[in-house]
This record gives sequence, structure tokens and C-alpha cells, in this order.
Amino acid sequence: MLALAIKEFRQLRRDHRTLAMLVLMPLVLLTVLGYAASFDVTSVRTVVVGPRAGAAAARLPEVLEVVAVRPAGGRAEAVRELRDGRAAVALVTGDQVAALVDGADLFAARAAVQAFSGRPEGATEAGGPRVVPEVLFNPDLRTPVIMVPGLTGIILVFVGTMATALGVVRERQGGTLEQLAVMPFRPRDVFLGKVLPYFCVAAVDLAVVVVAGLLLFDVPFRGNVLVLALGALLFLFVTLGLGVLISTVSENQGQAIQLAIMTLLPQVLLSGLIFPLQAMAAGVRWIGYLLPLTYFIQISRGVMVRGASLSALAVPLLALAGLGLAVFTLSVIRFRRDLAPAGGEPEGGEPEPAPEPGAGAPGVEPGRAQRRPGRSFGVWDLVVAYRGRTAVAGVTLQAAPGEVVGLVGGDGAGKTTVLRALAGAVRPAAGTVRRPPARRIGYVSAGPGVYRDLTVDENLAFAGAAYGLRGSALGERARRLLDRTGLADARGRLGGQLSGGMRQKLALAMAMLHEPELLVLDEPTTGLDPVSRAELWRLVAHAAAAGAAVVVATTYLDEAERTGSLLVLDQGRQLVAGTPEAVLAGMPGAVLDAPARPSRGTAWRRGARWRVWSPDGSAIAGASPAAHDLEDAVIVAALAARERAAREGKGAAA
Amino acid sequence: MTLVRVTEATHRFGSFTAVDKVSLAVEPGEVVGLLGANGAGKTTLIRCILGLLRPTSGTVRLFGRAPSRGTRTRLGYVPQGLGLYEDLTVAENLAFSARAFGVEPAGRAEGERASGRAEGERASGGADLDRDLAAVAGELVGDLPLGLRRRVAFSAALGHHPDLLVLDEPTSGVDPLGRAQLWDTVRAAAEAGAGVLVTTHRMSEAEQCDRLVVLAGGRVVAEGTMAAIIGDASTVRVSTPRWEDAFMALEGAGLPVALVGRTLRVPGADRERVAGALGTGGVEAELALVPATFEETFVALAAGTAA
Repeated sequence: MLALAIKEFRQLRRDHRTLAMLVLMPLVLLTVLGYAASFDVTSVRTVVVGPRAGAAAARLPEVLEVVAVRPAGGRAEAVRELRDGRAAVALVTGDQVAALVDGADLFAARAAVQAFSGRPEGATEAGGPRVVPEVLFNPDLRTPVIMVPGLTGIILVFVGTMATALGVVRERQGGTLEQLAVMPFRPRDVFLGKVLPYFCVAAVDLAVVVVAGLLLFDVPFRGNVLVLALGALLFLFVTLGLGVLISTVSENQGQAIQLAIMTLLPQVLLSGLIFPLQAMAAGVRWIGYLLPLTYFIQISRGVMVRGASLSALAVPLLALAGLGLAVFTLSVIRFRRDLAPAGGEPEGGEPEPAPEPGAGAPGVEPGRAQRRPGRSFGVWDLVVAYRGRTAVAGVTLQAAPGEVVGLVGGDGAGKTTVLRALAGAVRPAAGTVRRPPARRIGYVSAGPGVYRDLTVDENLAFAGAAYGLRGSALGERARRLLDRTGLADARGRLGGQLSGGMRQKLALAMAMLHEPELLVLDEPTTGLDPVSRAELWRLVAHAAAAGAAVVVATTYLDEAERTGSLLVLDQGRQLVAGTPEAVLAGMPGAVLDAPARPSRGTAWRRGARWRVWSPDGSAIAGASPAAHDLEDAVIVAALAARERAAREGKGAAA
Repeated sequence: MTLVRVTEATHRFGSFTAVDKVSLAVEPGEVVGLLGANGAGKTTLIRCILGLLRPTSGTVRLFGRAPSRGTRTRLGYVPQGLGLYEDLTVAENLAFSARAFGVEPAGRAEGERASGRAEGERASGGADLDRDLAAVAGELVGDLPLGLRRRVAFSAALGHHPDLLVLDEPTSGVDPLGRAQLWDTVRAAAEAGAGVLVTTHRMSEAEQCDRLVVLAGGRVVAEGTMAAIIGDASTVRVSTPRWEDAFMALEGAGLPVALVGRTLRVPGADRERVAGALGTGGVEAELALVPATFEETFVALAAGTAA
């Protein structure tokens, strides 16, 4: 038990986020709420109109803050000022003194009513009759009348932000984001494509909530429906866009939900929905002015309760439009980072790019860049860096049509980076990339990039549409692929219900649907059993036989052995490259076999026996010559590279 | 004493028989590979051996007894997902598993001892592991590359010197050199007397085992050394400059053709059928009957097409 508790405590200590939530959050909540949570409005914006306006304004109680004095105006102007939200109280002077109070501004109204009723002596002193305030728009000062318009907004914030916040994260976790990156989409297509369906649903949702509010709670609707619709449109765009933005910066669903809640909470508390903005401390109020819900509440209350006009709501509408633009721009920038392909030139551009300065990465002999047959695709002297950290340096890999090339390496060796650069999902820091245009590339990410909540047929239809296939051409190709992959009986099953092998075959079918010239596969056989693996390799061979250039990443050498040529990566650099025969022939020294660990040389086990490397090929006591295989050759290459690095390290130190 | 003795074990989930009258034994110092396609019953059998499932019929004896909490202390298990806490350091992970198994937590002293021991004991292979891990003892497991992370998991499973080591796909995702290092550790544990049971569907893993047990459809379909399982199974090798046409012709005829470099292999098929399919496709090729690889034999066994 204690062992578990100690472990749990250590984990908690390291999980800054949860720790912060536990310790800091209550403090922040208390402070913010302490300054925000007040129903007591201490300053009510007031206009005074009529002939004796000046004198009356001077005698008003302190709580009524006079913002305008208009001796020329009358009752009509006073009502207009209230309706358009420029003031919460209007004092009409003249023959008869009248105080008009905006009932839509519930707490200000209550404060004003109290102010008027609480000063009988003052009124006597002034010599005038006692003023009985007249409450407009919401004469009974009922809470639902002002809450329902605001609640429609908060409901949409909950539904909208949550729904879209998970959208991109799901793609990232499912591996389908990689797929989108190499499909011929623009970042703004992805943003708008993500928002549009939710937008339609949310718009219907909003209409239903508003109508239900009107019917159930007897809320008035005095203004123009179109003005509310315009406000709702902008508000939904911001809200849903915010969800997408959250989604693009989150690594996983938990993080997305945490972030979504962090944007929801302040909107609930600080938007003026519950606590009036005027009652908040200035700092907290300014947070409120950054929240879209603040403006939507102003619009919905204005339109529904007071019947405010379009021009009167210009400020909140413009604010929403501004927020919308900001969210959209930020999302597109984020998407561009994730999805922004580029670098290298699609085929059809310059076939013979000039070797770039600085592209001659260490470890690559000069002249290799010239060896480049006509129509091969590939990367030459590739360097890729993520945030300044070099992930891959000096890698050259090419695949001719009809050729299968294996890219071998352990987890973190840089395989995915090379494939991403080849497919155009990441921009290389240096080097040359040659690939066909995005429409002619097929890519299977390590995910695999299959939508778990779409059926086999729907997955294929999406891939087809993304590559501009439709109608009978799509149907025919899909049918043939379904037959070949053995998925024909599973057409109606969801991607998530398929076995690992079937899912990989579906991912491959999606990537092959448009008959690409270049097929890039990131560890398609990882986690598959030998039977599925054999079927998958048959599909790969079929694509090559049909003329595609295929690059396949794998962690297993015995798989790469079946390819035409292979490239082994270790820590972002190429260890060996060439046909399996060339790699075997190029191994330095010799590998010997021994029943027990030999006295010298670097040795490793093969079953119960030992293999030992003799760098100069000389005999080692107790070991007999053995035919080395690819596994031996690559281990030797890794050992040799490590020795070289150690020597260089020592040289540098000395 | 036999470490694991499974006798005629059957396990059913409802009407589905996951493990069907399987018998299997692991002796001290032996590395046994448990092979099978997905759904062949590997996981269920392993869970029966670990004592997490009780077989519907038949018996499982672990160290001569029925699996219990007591037998767990003599058992080291490395699941495929490694079962490490990524937000704890290497040392903290090892300390947790040591405490969980009721041995004295290794701590700093152990790390120093390990690095001091390393030079002299390199021959055993196991010491290299300790030294590499000692160098990263203070780092979070989540920040380590997968190869090193797997070695932490091995170390955690070996910390209490178990008599039986159960490994699920132990080297998945690791490069060849890292794999050789991991197998050094496994082999060193076996030489020290532990029995090792490895589940895998990778042939390079199978090669490292002393003995293999192949499951298909919940039953043992082959057992023995790799060479014995391959037996005299053969494959038709097809060499032709027009491999693309040959491939399409053979695939079209429904043969299990595979591309290896620029030659084709058709495991389990007879020469006449291959020649016939090529003739129909109008492709001239050179045919040869060659010994099957273990992978080809295994696929045939797993797919149930073996004669």
C-alpha cells in the first residue's frame, strides 16, 4: 500500500497542471470571484432630459451617474436612449418629472428604484413631487426576462466549444491529421470544413433554445430577428472557432477538455450573465470585455428585451467580428504549422534542382546528389529540424516507379520525419525533395489514418473526395480495392470495429484509391500478425507492380530484406543504404560465430550462440567464420558508427 | 523443477473457445517462444499462466503450485505497453516495482554498485544494462527513447530476480543493435537459471528462442526448434525480368505470392500450379523449388493452409 502511495505522491509532485489546479485554482477563483461576484451596482448611467435637466442632474443621488444632460430632449429621446443601451436610467424633467428605468439591466434598475424610493426627504427638500420610477421593457423586473437571452449564449458556448475542441485532437490522436497534411487541402479549407457542420447544428440549436425560451418563460422579443441572427452568426463563428483553436494547440483529448473548461468558466462568471459588469472591479471587468459571450449577451438582451436597433449594437457586433477574425487567423496559422506542407518541388517543376549551399550534410560524400535517374522520387541530402533540434541530417533516399524501398530504424530514428518530408508534410531545413504533386501521392501515417467513427465505405468515400474522385470511377476503384483487401464483407463496419490488420488494409486502400505515383507508408505492419502482414505486403507489391514508387518504413530488418533497396536510419543519420546484397557486401570486417562469448571483439547473442565482430576480418580464438545476414550487417554498422562517434568525441575533447 | 506446466488447458469466453486443450512447459534456463496470429489465443494463455484467468478446464501449475499471489513474487512480467510510469524517473520506477515485490529498493547505492561492476562483468551482458540505466537514473521515463524505456521495463521485471520471466513482444519498435542488447539481458537471465516465455509474431524474435510453440485457433499446431518446424516445407521461387506481370498473373490466380527484391515467392504452392498461372498470363519465368523460410511456414500454419 505504502509503495503505491509513494508512487502516487511522486507523480502528483511532477504533474504541475493537476497540482496547480489543486492549489492555485481555488486562490484564483476566490480572488476573481471576490471582485466579480457582486450584484450591487454602485454607479448607474443616467441621462437627464427636458427643460430643467441641468438643475435636476445636480440634485440626483450619488448612485445615479449622469452621463448626458439634454435640455432639448423629451420623453421620446429618453426612451430611445434606454432602448439603445446608452443609459439605464433616464430622468425626464418638465411639467411632470418622470424617471424611466431600463428593466433589462436588472441590477442597475433595482439600484435606481431603490435610490428613488429611498430619498423622500431629498425630494421634499427640492420642493418637487416625489418621483415614482417607471420601469420599461421588463416592468416586473423578472429575472427570466434577462437570463434567457444570455442563457442561449452560454448553452451554445458549452455545446459548441466542447464539440469542436475535440475535433482536431481526435485527428491528431488517430493519425489522420498526418493524412490531411498530405492531402491537397489548404489550411483554411480544413478550418472551415471543421467548423461548418457544427455551425449548422449550432444554428438550429440556437433557434430552438430562443423559441423555447420565449414560449416557456414568457420572454419578450421586441427587436429585429435579423439583427439577432447576425449577432448569433458572428458569435457562433467565434465560439466554434475557439474550439478549433483549442484543438490545434492540444496534444490529447484530456488537454483539450481542460482548455475548453478554462475558456468556459470565465465566460459563465465574467460575461455579465450572472454578475453585472458594472459591479465588477475594473481589472476583472476588462477580462469580461475579451469574452465573446459578453458581447452576445449585450446583443441578445438588446434585441429581445429592449428592441435595440442595428446601429445601437454596432459596438458588440464589431467586437465579435474582430474576435472572429483573430480566432480564424490564429487557427489558420496553427494549421499551417501542422498541415503546412511545402519544401521541395513537385514533379513538373525543375527536374534538376541546384544543390543548395549547406545541403552537403556531414557523412554524405559529394557527388551523390548527381546520381539521380529521370523519374525517381526521393530526398537528397535531407536535413529537417524541429524547433532548432535536428531530427534528420544528410539522408538520401530515392524510389523509382515500380520499386519498393524500405526505410528501417528503431523508434525515434527519424523514419517518420523522412517520410513526412518526402510526402510534403514538413519543410526541410536543407536538401532536395522530389515528389509528385499532392494529388499523386498516397500516404499512410503510423496512426493508421482511418476514421474510427466512419464506416469502411465512408472512409473510402472521404479519401476519394479529397483526391477529387467521384461517381463511377470512384465506385469501380473502391470495389476492386475492397475485393483485393478482403474488406468487401466489412463495408458497413466502423473503422473502430475493425481488427488491426483490417484497419491497416483499409488505410492502405484509402491511400491507393487515387492510384498515386508515390506511395509512402509509415510502419504499416507494426502490431500486425504474420498473416495480415503477408496480405499487406501483397498489396504493396501490387501497387509497385502497377508502377508506383513505394517507400515503406519498418522497425524490422527481416521485412526490409524483401524490398528492392533499403536505408537504415540511426539517430537521424543514415547507417547503411543500398540493395540488401550491397549492404551485406559492404559490411566492414567479418562476423564470426561462437558457442560462448569469445575473449575479444564486440559480441552479441544469436539464440544460445554468440556472434562476434572482427573489424579487420582476422580470426578470433574460439570463433568460426559464419555467413552474416542483414541483421548482423546493421548491428556492425551501428557499432562502427558508435566507435567512430566516440573517437571523434575524444578527438574533440583533446 | 518445471517452472510452468500447462496441461490440457481450455479457456472459453461464452461460446468462444480462446484456448483449446493446450499443453506447454517451461524449464529453468530455457527460452520458449509462443507464436501465433492475433486471436490465436496467446494473450489468454499468458493470462492463465500469470494467474489472471482461471482455465475453464485443465490445469496450470506455476512453480509446482496453482497460480496465486504467492507465485507472483517469483514472476517477472513485461507487458507490451511496458507498464512504466512515464512521469516518474527511472530510479523511481525501479524503486516502485522493487517495493511492490517486497525487495529492498535499489536506490543510489545499487546504481553505483552497478556501474562499478560494469567493466568486469560486461561478458554477461546484463551489466551493460545496469550501467546505461544508472546514467539516466534521474531522467523521466517518458523522456527516454523507446529502446532504453524497454530496458527499464526489463530491469523492473528482473529487479526481484524472478524464476520466470514473461515477455510480451519484448523488442517491438527497437533498432537491431538495441534489440541485440535486450536479448543479451534475456539470455543472461536464462543462463542464470530463469525460465523465459516470450510471445511474439516477429520472426527475428523467434530466432532467439530455444524452442517454439505455435498457436492457431487456440490450439498448438507446431512445436519444437525452428528448423524442426520448418521441416521440409518448400516454396516456389519465380525469377523473371517481368516480375510485375508475373506478380499480377499469380495474384490473379489466387496464389499467395510475395515480392522479395525482384523475385517472387509462392509458399506452399506446387510448381505446376505456378507454371500454369504464369502460362495463362503469358509470362516466361524460371521456377525453382527452394526451402521455405520460417515466416512462410508460420503463415501457412497460422492460416491453416499447411498440408
